[in-house]
Amino acid sequence: MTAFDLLDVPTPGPLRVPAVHERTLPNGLRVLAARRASTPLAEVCLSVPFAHTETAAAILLSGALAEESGTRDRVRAMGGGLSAGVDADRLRIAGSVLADQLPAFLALLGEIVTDPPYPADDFAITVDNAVQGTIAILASPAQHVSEALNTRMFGDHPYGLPSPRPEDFRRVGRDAVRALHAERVLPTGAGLVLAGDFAPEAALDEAERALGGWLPGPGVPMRRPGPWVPGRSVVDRPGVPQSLLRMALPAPRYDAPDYPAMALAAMVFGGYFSSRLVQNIREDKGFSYSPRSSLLHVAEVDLTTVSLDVVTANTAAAVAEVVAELSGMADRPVTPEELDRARRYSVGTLRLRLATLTGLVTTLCELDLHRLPIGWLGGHDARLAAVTPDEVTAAAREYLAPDKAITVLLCDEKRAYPA
Amino acid sequence: MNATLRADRRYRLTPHVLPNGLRVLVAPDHDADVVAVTVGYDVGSRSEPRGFSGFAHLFEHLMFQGSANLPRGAHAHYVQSCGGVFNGTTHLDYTEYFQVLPSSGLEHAVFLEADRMRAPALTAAGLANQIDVVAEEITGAILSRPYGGFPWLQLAPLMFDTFENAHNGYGAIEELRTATTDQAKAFFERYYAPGNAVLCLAGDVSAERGIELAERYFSDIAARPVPPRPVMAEPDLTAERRDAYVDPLAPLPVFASAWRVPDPTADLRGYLAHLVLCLLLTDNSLGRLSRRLVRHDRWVSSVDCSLGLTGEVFGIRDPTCLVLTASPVPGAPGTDAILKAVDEEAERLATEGPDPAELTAATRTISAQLVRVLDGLAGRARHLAVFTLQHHDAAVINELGPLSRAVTAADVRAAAAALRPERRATVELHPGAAR
Repeated sequence: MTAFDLLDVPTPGPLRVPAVHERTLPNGLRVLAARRASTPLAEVCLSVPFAHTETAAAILLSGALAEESGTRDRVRAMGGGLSAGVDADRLRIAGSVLADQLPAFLALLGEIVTDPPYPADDFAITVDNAVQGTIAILASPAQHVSEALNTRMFGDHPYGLPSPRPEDFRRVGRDAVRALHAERVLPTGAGLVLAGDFAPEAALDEAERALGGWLPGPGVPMRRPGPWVPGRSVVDRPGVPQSLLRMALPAPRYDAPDYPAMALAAMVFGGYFSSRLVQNIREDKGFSYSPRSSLLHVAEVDLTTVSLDVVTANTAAAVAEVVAELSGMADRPVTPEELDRARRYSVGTLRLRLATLTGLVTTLCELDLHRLPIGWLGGHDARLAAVTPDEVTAAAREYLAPDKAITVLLCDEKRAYPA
Repeated sequence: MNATLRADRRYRLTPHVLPNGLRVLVAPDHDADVVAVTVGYDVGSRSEPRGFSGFAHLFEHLMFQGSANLPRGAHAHYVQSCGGVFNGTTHLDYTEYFQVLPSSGLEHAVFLEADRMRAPALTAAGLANQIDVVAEEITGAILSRPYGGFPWLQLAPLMFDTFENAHNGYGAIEELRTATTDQAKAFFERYYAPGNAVLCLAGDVSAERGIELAERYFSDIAARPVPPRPVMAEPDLTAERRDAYVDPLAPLPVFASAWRVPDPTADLRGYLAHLVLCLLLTDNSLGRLSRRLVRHDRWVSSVDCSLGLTGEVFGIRDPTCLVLTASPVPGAPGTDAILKAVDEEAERLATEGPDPAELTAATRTISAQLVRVLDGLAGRARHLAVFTLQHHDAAVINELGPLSRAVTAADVRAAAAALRPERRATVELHPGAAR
């Protein structure tokens, strides 16, 4: 074997930002189109503001749109698929078809949003599916701990609401869903992202043809959540073999001046395999298979989240280690080597994300959701390059202090904490 | 129609073999400045030694614990410093290790894979730590999760009789705790020989550069004998098998049935006909069973057919199965009535065959799904490596779309005719947490 200098870690070349064509239609719909010629597919994602909608009705609306028989049959004939989902902020309708079927798919999308059928027999099945799906989800401890955390963080704000229960779905009639559609499935503030093997300008024209007649209406902004009240609570589940720790702390917005420093602080803390959290909890102590931390951005909230599953016997020790690692981000300042590695990882994985069709669409949707310009991607590497170790430590001191966390621990409390 | 002409993406492939037996495959694609480096070893849960369930998976974890020139943690350190991601996964018939990184990091990734193929550090400390990590993984993925391991872990021992096919590939935690470094060394010696592996480089790398790097870093790894593949063949079922168990955490019932399918390597066409059959039976639009049981009769909330006990359609050897999973609606006619409807619809397809439009929609959908699955470099490199191991020719990948669209009504009829009750094994999960 020839000598190879492992320590000479290369830096990726400049980011090739995809050419994104943009058009805002007169009805307010913002359309982004990017060409990726190598894959004979077109991926589509329509994102519609959906703040302050009734959760069960919103879920049934998205289910009914995707499960309607006629729609499914037409999409299948295009060799494609269509899905829909909602969260507290947005309704999303996503599709993937063979590239030359894009005009047909956009025409179908136009019909779905402007003249949805919601046939009664299909709707009844959608309700049944939602009920069954919810029963299954509610059996999962992970769902319980995530609901407990959301409620603890946001109370009766939409971000804090638990999943609807079976009876909530059964109460929603088809007329309520149709009314919700008429009132809230609007191009106002909505974004449509297209990526794949097509001519972008022609795709924008097709989008305008298919969706230009969609009528706008009044937008409903998401209310800001109430004050952040740190603290710790336990969901006691006698008999569970594994404890689930979930934590959250306020984080800066994407466009905040200290966001790049915080993104790197979060990475060093627990954002990747080489992070302090994973090296300590998994590779040193063997406490947990996948301890992790990441930044979460929704319309009106930005968080650092920490999650860890650990057997009962190791719970107290693992939780103590997580808290110590959070404090350690201020007490044991981030070294230049740690910062360098986190920065390199962030720079590289952005390239990885943009290399697949689905990654490209997801990234463009995320930019659109947060009203960030496409040029934000091009500035990514330079923003990270400018961050110093001191700035990372300062961000950690501000945003990763354990006394700012809201913590929920689902466990068999008597056995996890016998004393 | 135009769409069918543009339903495929063909990959340029350059295969090469090193003197030590390592198969190398380069699949250049300069769309993005990103490359995948994948090593596939021809050993998986089904080929792990008799008497030690879960060893292949535990060993996969040990391959990240350092090697000749690298301390513990260094693998992750270097890949991530190059801006890349990595992982290892253990499958029924193979184990794969991958890196996807900016192409500037290509040489690092090749070096790292060569270093651990040459000499992984199989230490007591690393073993003890990873046994704990695997125990956590099993607890989270199987033991403490509703429907954990369903239907794979329950169907395999019902459908098959030999250790190879029937055993639990995760293994039991208490047995894993008895693993020794000597066992790990013996496993490595036997199964991780260069002749038992494939290196695949996919993405932003030329064929010349890929082969040059493979030669530079892998060619001094000494050749070792390649272990014979264990005999996994088993006779087909001749009488229906049934089993049932209670999952204390599950709130709703579910059952799964399996039938043997043709050998994916020896009879790819027959195998693909079964893939088409899956869509014709349970695709949410095309599926006859979905229309009848979900939409019309409302006997099940969902019904799904797929190939492979673990849901892996490609990357599996014979013997393997078509798996039908159904969630009976409580209060509706249950498993027996549903299975009778399955038999009737299979019989109808076998007798009448699919409509031409139905068949076209199904095969076009499969073509598009293949393109999507292979779009990401990690998935592409994995499939290319596995096809090299199992089909001895990765170029078969390029034929999957056209071959799927060449499946005829007669092929589908033959596949449907094979879904007979006496060839079937069915396991019912009774919900212990039903309210």
